[in-house]
Amino acid sequence: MKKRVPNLSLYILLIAVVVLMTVLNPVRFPTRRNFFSMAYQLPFLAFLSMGQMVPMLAGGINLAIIATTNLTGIVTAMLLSWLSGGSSWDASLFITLVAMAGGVLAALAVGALNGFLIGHLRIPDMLATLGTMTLVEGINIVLTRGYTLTGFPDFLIAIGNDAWGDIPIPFIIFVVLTILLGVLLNKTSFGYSVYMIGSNYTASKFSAIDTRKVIIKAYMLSSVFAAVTSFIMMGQMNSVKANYAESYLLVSILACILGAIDPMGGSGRLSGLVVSVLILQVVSTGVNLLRMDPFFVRAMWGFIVIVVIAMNHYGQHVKFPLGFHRWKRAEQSVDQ
Amino acid sequence: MVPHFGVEPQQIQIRTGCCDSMSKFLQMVNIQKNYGGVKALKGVDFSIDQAEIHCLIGENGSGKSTLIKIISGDVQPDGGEIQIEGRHYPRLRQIDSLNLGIRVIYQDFALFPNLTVAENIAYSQLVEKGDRLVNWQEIHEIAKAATEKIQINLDLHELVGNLSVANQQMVAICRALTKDVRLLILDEPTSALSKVEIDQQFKVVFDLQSKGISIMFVSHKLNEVLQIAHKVSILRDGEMIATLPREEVDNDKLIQLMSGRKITYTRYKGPETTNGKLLEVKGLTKKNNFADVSFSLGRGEILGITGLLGSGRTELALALYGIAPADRGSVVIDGKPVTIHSVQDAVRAGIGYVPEDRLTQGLVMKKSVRENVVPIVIDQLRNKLGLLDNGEWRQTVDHWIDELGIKVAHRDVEVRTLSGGNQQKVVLSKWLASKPKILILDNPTAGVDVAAKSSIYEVVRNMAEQGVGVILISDEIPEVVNNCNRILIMRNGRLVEHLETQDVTEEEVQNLVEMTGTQQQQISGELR
Repeated sequence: MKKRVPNLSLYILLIAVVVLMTVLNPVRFPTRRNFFSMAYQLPFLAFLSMGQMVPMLAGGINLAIIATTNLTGIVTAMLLSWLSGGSSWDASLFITLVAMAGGVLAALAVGALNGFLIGHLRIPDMLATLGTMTLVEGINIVLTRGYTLTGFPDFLIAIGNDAWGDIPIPFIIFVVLTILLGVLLNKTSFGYSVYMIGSNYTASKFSAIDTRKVIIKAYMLSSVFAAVTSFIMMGQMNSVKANYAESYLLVSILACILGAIDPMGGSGRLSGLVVSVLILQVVSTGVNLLRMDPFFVRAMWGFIVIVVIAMNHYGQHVKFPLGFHRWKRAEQSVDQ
Repeated sequence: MVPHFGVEPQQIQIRTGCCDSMSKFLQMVNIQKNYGGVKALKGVDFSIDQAEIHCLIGENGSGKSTLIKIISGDVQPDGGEIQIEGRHYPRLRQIDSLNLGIRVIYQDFALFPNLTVAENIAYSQLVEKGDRLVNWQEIHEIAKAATEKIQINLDLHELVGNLSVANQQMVAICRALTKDVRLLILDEPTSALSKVEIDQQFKVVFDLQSKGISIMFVSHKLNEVLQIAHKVSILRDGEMIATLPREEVDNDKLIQLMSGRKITYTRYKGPETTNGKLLEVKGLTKKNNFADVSFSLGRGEILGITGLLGSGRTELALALYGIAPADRGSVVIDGKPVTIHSVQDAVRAGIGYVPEDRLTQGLVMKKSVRENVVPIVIDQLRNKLGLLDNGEWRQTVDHWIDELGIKVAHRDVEVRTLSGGNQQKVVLSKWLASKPKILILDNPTAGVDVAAKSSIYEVVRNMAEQGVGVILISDEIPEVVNNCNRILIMRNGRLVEHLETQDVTEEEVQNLVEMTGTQQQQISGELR
């Protein structure tokens, strides 16, 4: 058995992009102010990616994750407004918490629906969540009639913007949730079952793993992360809308792939995902500081993912890509 | 187009024992093939004469498939010489093999179930012609010519998916016959067929052989091999052990050559006490699968269930295990009626199941031994905080590795890399750890070598001695006769025989399993 550092190439890549950005922009990149602002921005992408990672580990995908995020925000905002009689920016802490609980419940309902469609009815994950995504998006527009809802109480604003000493609140939440998710995935029978189901659904079922229950839980957990993302977003933007952050759906999937989460399910580490999100954030901030076209960030992200995946394949399969299928076939015949 | 088989009539008379190099169709010398570090073939010599029926036998993993793939050009050997009709082929490609008239009919036939018989038969020829438009008349002409060649009656308009396995096989043979065939390779052709169907298939095989076609018949059913072969070649662990004419072999000899040792079965004697019924099944029925199945199982008893593929034996097991629950009938365990709607129900009731298909159902191949041993007991491995206790987990796994003698370098090794026998022991340990009352084993020794086989029997017998009720489903008659107290035979979804093993011989059971004809039709008529 070879003992090697998992995801070593990701760590190297992270150091490389940090060094590169420092060299390109020695005045503004390696500053306290810059790291502080990255710590504000990072959790948003991190939570979405974690919410994407859990279903992906179980062999699925959650296309409804952004729609769920927006639904949480909209439900929370509407409850705030309704419970506080229209002056939601003045709502008491109690009312705020009740409204947020309502938002979380809405998100959990979507997660349970996803899990039911996939776990019980065995609808392919991509179709099921495409359906719920469209459904929830429609509900979001109906609820808001397309308008932006704004004006939130101090508590929500604080979640998104305050800092504890030098550490932004969103970053603290990020650290806590990362630890919790790590424990959940690596130290509980739920996490074990997620990895098993993602590796081989049929064998897991034959091994008496309650696939239905685990899949529902996985999608509900995904929804929890969507809800947390939503609260951070509400705080930072002080508004919600039916179609915020839509472009982040594919970014969340991309972050997982860069973080070596197997899109076929069953393998991948949380640490890999965290490093992946850090890389994406450093690139994004670095490019912005260089005052380049912001759309260039996307191109850079895509480029990095392509390079990493190509390198991984090249590294694993020694032979040239053209010989790849032959290598695979030989492996399969040995299996038999 | 007039079909011809490229052989002069006088050669039809050749049957056995000739060694004139002119009559050799295929000759392979010192063929080697490695997959990674695994030596699949270690210098194999093999030859087939023209118009010869040559059987190739060997246990799973002995290299049969690799040899077929080399002959068909799918796989290139790492060393050795191939000579076909006297010509050397340093690199035999698929296209060469096809052009030389070599056709392989694989176990799964590689047919299109959603196309008609005619389309399936004519397909490869049409592709080769490369017409852009479909000519239906031509399709039917090609198909008709092929079916007439082996004098078989098939509805050319029927979808292949609706045909019986035997007829699907005929379609596959017809498809091979649309072009000049010199060597027809049949890979495990009889595994799903009844006696009558096998006889029909043999008729076709003899017929083709009389037309000058060489037949390579790959099987592990020795009684059939003895019935059909002119010559038998035996592969073991990638080595060609012997090639012998039919007259020089018998069943025992073949077994010995195949396994490298004589299997000496000792008969299992169950517990004396047959009171205290552990499991009672009454009138269990699942539409289109099995009907009205009733039997009982005692503590410490090993009950064998056998029957042909598709007789409903696996379906019965899947119903008891909750994967595909039954529609009607009752299951009573320890005097208490239980309803089994899911695997969780079954496990709660104390039923375990070792599936037939280890690769996709038994184990999660990509995961380690550590992860594969514990799925059923995972909740017992938690500490006070409710979190998984790695120490206890490791202990449990190491205990079972030790207890069953699983050969593995480390518990964190992927099960994919283990041998068949060791993989099966991992599956067994998964269930042993959960302490089931009843364990159903579905073909537990498929793809397992002889040494591992006997150690698996030992594990099963030990379990039974400790009071577990075991149901052993198997194809292999010696396996059930020697390991079970009683044997049930299933046919067409029904239990048709109930035997005490002390009263029967292997041959009697074999005959009962393969009994077909009018009796079978009568029964299947009743089912509808």
